[in-house]
Amino acid sequence: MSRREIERFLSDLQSDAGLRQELTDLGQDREACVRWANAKGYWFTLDEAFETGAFDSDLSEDDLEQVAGGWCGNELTTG
Amino acid sequence: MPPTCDDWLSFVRPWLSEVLVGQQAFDSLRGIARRLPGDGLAALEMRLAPGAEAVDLSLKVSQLYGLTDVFSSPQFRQLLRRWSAGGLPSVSSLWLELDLERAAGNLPDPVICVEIERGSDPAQVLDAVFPALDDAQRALALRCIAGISPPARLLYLFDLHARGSAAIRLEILGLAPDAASAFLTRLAPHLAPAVADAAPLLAGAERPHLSFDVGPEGIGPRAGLEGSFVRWPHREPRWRELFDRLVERGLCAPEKRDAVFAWPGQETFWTAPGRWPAEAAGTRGVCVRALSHVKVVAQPDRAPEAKAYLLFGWIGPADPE
Repeated sequence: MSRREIERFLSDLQSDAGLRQELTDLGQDREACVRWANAKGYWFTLDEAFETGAFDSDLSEDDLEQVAGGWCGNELTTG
Repeated sequence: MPPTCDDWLSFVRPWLSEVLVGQQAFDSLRGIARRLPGDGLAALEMRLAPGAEAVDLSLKVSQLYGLTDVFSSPQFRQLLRRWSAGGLPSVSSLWLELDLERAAGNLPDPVICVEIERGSDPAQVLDAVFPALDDAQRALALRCIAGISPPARLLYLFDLHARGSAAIRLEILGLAPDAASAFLTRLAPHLAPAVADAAPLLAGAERPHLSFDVGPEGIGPRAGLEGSFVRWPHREPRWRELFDRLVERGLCAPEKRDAVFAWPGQETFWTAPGRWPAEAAGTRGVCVRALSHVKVVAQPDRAPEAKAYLLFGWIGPADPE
């Protein structure tokens, strides 16, 4: 049920610029985001949002450095 | 409708200083980027010298999409189709370089950059990618390839037809700047002094590249030295040292150096929901901004030219929404 609710929430965010603007005004507090979503009628918890990967997290430093080496040839270093 | 390169270019604009890309150049870049897919990495090539404003856009191709219809070059269409159909198994990726000055309001044909799969035979790739190469040009290219001592290896081959040149570019990974100078002394002595002069600028850089052009009449008058560091600038002080050397030689404006260091970072939908191109990209994935590498172009009897390559693009979700 919660997964469906989260998907409904994400789908509505994707299509509704007004909803995204409201979210912008909340800042980056995930807990506040979930409270706001609940108030809008989307029923899920903060834990459920993280478990389903709804809140994409940043890449690690190592992953970022892999990406940045995409042109340079990561497999061979000198210096 | 999937995101375009322009969706991400527009998204990263707040981190791209006007010092590096003025509004007019940015608008021109957008004109190109909106016709290109936004499912992978792109790079902005910028000149670092004070007053140098030219910017170019490169795109890493991961899928065909409608790319064969976007460009007019029959050579490019053919190459893309062959690669997409598995006809170039030793080509691990394609980068397209789009020179803004050739755009003139339209999408310019791209310089095509072919990445050679590690462990494959570069001579075979040369023949597969350039089947109609001039005999003398092919022989010279093969001589250059044979002169590369492991662990250095040929990493990229470039088709420069889009610039009106019959030359091809060879880019070698793993030759440190001093070794690059020695390599050129054997094969292109006219370039060796200029490369030796530029080499100290990139001293100590990891992942060194050397590039030069092989035409029907011989090796061209320019060589490119590239360098980067595995770690990002905030974890690697040698980035700053490299840029400081460029500034000291007058090859990089100090404000451009500072703007380059302000570029790297990452965003998700949740850090910028009002600006994220959610309708095209959904809410998943990460938009990355990275400093890729620095290139110093060396030419006889001319001061070197320094460029920085800033990557940006969307690392999409592992499992699609």
